[in-house]
Amino acid sequence: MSAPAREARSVRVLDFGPLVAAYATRLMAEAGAEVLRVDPPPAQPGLSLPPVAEYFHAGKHGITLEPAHPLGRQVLARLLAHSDMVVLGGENAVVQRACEDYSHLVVVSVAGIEPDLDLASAELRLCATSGVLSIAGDPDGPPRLPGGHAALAAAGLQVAAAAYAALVWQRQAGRGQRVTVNLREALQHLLDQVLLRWTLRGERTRRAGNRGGATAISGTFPCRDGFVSIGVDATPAAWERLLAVLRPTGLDRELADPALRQEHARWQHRARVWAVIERWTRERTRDELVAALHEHQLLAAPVLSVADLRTDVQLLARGFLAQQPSTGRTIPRGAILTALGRPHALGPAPWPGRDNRAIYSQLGYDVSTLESLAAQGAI
Amino acid sequence: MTAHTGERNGPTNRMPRAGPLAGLRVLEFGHVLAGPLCGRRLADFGADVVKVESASRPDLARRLGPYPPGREGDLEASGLYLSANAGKRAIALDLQTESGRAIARLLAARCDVLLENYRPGVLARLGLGYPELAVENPRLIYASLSGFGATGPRARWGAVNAVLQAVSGLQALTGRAGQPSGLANSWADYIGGLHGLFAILAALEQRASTGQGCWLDVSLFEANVASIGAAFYEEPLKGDVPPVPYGCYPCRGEDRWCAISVATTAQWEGLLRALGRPELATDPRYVTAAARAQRADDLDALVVEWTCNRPVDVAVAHLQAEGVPAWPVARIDDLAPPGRVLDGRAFVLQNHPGVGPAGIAGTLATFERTPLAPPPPAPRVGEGGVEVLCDWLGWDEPTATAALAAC
Repeated sequence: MSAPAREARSVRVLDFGPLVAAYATRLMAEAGAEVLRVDPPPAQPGLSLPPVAEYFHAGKHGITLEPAHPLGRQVLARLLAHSDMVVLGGENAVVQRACEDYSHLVVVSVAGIEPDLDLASAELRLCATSGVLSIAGDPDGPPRLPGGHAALAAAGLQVAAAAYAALVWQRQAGRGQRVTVNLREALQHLLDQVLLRWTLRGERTRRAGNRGGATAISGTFPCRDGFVSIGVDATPAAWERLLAVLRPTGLDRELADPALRQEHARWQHRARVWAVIERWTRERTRDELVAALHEHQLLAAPVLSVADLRTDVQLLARGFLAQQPSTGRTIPRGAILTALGRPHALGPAPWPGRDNRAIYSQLGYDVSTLESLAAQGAI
Repeated sequence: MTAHTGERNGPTNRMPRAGPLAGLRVLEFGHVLAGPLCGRRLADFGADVVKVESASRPDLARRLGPYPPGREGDLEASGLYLSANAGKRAIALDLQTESGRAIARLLAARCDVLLENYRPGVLARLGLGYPELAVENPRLIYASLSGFGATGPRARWGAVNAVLQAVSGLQALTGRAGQPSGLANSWADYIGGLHGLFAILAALEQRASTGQGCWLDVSLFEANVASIGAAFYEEPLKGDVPPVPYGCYPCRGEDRWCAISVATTAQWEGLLRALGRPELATDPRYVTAAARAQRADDLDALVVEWTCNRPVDVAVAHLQAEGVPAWPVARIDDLAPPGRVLDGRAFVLQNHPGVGPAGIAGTLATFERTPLAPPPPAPRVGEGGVEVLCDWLGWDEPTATAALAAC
């Protein structure tokens, strides 16, 4: 007989980290952690947040604190004693030093950031210096930033994983530790395929636009109402299925060379093959193409925009989307929420200090003390 | 570049692994990328990750390259496989046989995490689904990574990186209007695999207090939509003006670019000094950030006229000296030039037996109390299976050898 389930113990995270890495602590909030977003005082009731902050800080609580203030340091000590993890950006020597008195803490240092850069500049810098930009965009154009701030999400994922690996150890060993992740390295780390091609073959990976799949015949093709992505695997059987799809139009006869059954020949002649496929796709809609390709067990999907995704049947069926109460806008709930089977949506991102009273009262501070601390600039 | 030689204890990666997850056992039914790279990261953190393949159906990643010249199609020389599976042990089980499935069930009963990225239902049809395995192992964390998740109208759709980049909104957001564009690596697999990794770690943290395992249904589609989730909020704040000029500007030489971001008046004035056009600081067409944003194309042309005649390092140095945020767009030959020792965090050069030097992903994070070790080389098909059965099930070598021979 299995032991009865015990209550999950909540994780508390103090988030002093930079916005460029804040997807990490959003993921922790999705996993059920109580994440306290710490901003310098004063509280700023009703402050409007930029879109990235609205998304990355969703689900967190907002407090203000000045660790450099003597009274602020006392408040910090109480917070640290009741927290499991601290996320820091850059040096933050005052908080780092305070953490040393609490051996249970997981202290996550996000390194490699320039503290005074605005978000757009910081994102461009990370993508440029890590090598990500060199493989993003069209072959005949300039490098392009991965859209939707995807690179920042990737960097945050790396931070979150390292942080929670340390947390798992802390749960077992009863001790915390310091973990460091350099954000530039976090993105560079995702380029091992590029590195392999370079070190094994001396070949530099070029930008490929929307034709950069692992197999010769994969990419995005224009159709009557947008674009569709097609993937033909490296096997001769998959090639035969592609020919079967094209057979009703007679276009298969233009690809009759039996050598094309082999993947290496398809790589050599892919421009010609792509041109034939494109003549087929341009005459049909996304839905027609996806249905035809799936009928022949070939990979296919429409190229979707954010507007498409807001009403996407798969996302709706799995409860991945939610309505933002303040705007009625459709937003993603979060991939970790759905993976863990947690049914709710994250609360809105907090303005700085929104939860001062609620959080600090849990630590034993009464209202008049909080007002005094705020007046002195400690919180 | 100087290579770390992958050390082995005998013919397998038997040496104890270091890291915060040392002692954790992971049974991986992974193929190609999202699942295996999730397993690779768990191995980097110190977990004992055992990869299940069969001699007749090896990991498809082994057929995808890149290969060293002359080794095309060699199942033990695929670069993709070598990086995504470094640090693991392996066992060869034919899951189409009852004896293979029986061993898989025994291993699942003794592991902490089962990781798989087959299409939904594949392992369940083999009697290796979560409900069955959780009976024997209620602490089991069973992570299923699939293209679109285990439920919904697209649950049966296949997915590869190119398809996921397209369907998740990434291509539409990365490209220009009417021209979707993406990244020339398996970006979507990394995003999906990393979300799977975090979900597993979160479940492990929760299990530490509840004692219970769980099933994780990780959708690579959802993971990639989540990674561009900020775009669902994309209504700029009133009064916010984006940096201009902003982006990548061509420099002298093939595929050489300078990334520039001008967000403040001081940076704008610095740019003009660098370009030798200080008089434009008082030009009414460009005097405010909003005015500059309306003439972004004109300003881009101004910058290109200057950058295209200069090597990238000269352009960047000149701009940075004037306080302008500017950086070279690094290429792989900048990040890993011949002769440079790779630091082992982002990249490590591994001397793989039978293949030679191959640059693979490093271990990235540094842990103060549980430092990570360089990953041993990826295993050959089934390499170390006997040791795995001895270690996990307590069998002696003859018994383990006979059992594997039967499947």
